[in-house]
Amino acid sequence: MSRPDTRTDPALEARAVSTGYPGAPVIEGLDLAIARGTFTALIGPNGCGKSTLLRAIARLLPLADGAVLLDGRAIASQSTKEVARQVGILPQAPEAPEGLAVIDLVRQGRYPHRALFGRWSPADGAACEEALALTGLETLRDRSLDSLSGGQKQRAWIAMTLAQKSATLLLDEPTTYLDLAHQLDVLDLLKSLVRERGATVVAVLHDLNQAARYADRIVMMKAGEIVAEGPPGTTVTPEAIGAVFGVDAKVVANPVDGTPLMIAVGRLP
Amino acid sequence: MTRAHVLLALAAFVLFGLSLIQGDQPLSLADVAGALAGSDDASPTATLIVHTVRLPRALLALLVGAGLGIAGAITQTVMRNPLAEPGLLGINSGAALAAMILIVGYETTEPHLIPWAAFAGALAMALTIYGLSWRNGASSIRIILIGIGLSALAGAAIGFVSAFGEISAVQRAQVWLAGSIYDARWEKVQVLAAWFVAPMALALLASRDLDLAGFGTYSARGLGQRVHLVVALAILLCSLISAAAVAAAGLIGFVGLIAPHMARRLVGHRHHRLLPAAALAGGVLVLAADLIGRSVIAPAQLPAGLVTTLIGAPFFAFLLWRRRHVAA
Repeated sequence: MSRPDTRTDPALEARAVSTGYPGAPVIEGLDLAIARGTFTALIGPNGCGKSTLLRAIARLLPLADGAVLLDGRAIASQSTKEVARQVGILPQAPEAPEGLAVIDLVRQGRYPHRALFGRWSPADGAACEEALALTGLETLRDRSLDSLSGGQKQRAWIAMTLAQKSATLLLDEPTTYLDLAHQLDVLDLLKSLVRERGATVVAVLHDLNQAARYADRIVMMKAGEIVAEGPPGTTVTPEAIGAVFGVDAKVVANPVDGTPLMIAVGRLP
Repeated sequence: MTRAHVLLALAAFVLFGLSLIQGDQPLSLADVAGALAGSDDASPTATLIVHTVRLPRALLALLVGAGLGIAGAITQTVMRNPLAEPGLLGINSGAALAAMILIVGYETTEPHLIPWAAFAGALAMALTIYGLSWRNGASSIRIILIGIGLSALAGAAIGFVSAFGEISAVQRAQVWLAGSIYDARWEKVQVLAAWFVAPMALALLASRDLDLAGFGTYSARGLGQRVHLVVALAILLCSLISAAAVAAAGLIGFVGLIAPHMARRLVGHRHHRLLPAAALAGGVLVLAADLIGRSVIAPAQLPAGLVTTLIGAPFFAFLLWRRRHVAA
């Protein structure tokens, strides 16, 4: 399997990024390159800044310093619609108006592709149908979001981001609140987007073992800094897990595919 | 155009017709039709009543209701709160206060001037609410709480102006303030229509942006919307529409709350359908309120604003009760 050299051709790049909330800087001077056509998992304990980093990369949070580059061009220099055609973001626990139907949510994904007063085009319709099919929501299209289960709701939001047809997808905890089967559905979907369509996916995940199985690269963060970064084989180590989570862990080869499998033994003293 | 729109339009049409027929001097359907058509054998009295009294009144009720409905729908969307409404937020009382100062302080009832004063008041109120609730973005719950506070303040100021104003001017103002459209004149109808055209057309043209504004800030920004710009423009449009409605008919409460809810039930969330439906629903409500207000204790009249409040306050309580399990 040949992949472009990701070190010279990152899809997304954070350069010396500082960001956070008023009076509370979370990240200072952070560098990160997201390789094109890969699945990157952001991992770390609660409050480590992984969601903040994702939001900063997605221009949802203003940068105090530094720059985010998209295909080598500063995001700040592009119009926000232009960025939205290239990067889709699924925020954590997104909100929709009460009583909204699934299809009306998915249609919002076409917003960046339409001119100010432009009409709904066949391409818009096709993108929505494809997004519904990829997430298996065709039969639920007219149902109200409020009437769906947590897993179906999350899939509807993912469908909206897919309808956006951006080459890069950023997802903040897409599997949280889902049961195990639906977690795997979402991860399989993301993986197939990367493998079959060459998409670039960055997701904040909580389950280290799922991250190790599905992601091409893992970024481990603690207190606003990157502690380890690279393929699962080199990042999911007892040392890194100890440093990031403060947990004593054993790492063995996963009997299914040989990826690292972590067993938490207990808290480190 | 959906079936719900047709039904609402039909309801508005029927109420409009009833408004022309009903009154101290009941007219027959034939009288009204003759007067409207301007036929030669129509009775001069009927023609006079229809043309100078009932037609402007019914039109004013329809327009005011449409304005309140649209302003309410926009506010509920951009605040992402189904309880938001220009009336509750204090935008209407800001408009009323400014108009009150003009009417009582300068003793004028010039229909061309009052909307400008009302707009200045509404905009000042909207900007104050937004400015005070701004903390690196304005959360909707903060906007609503500050709006309710400022609304009370404006109400107190209206009371203050009334207490120290010249008696006859205050009396004139009180009737207007209570939300009555009995003082309808063609001039008022024209001014109101002129004020409504541009903001309503803009709101309709921006319906797709309003659709997206109903989502959280992060989702909307992620999809490429300039969220703060859209919210600011929406508030400006709301201030224009509310101010013109308040200038024409005083404070007609709760229509801005109920009409969008009815409309959303009937046609869903998308604004290219929601806004026309909310306008029609608002028109129906104010026409009905005016009709009830001048029928129940005829020949005396209840202001339409009183009737809508009698219906609206329990509805507001019902909405709160239904949302009792929704986390704040």
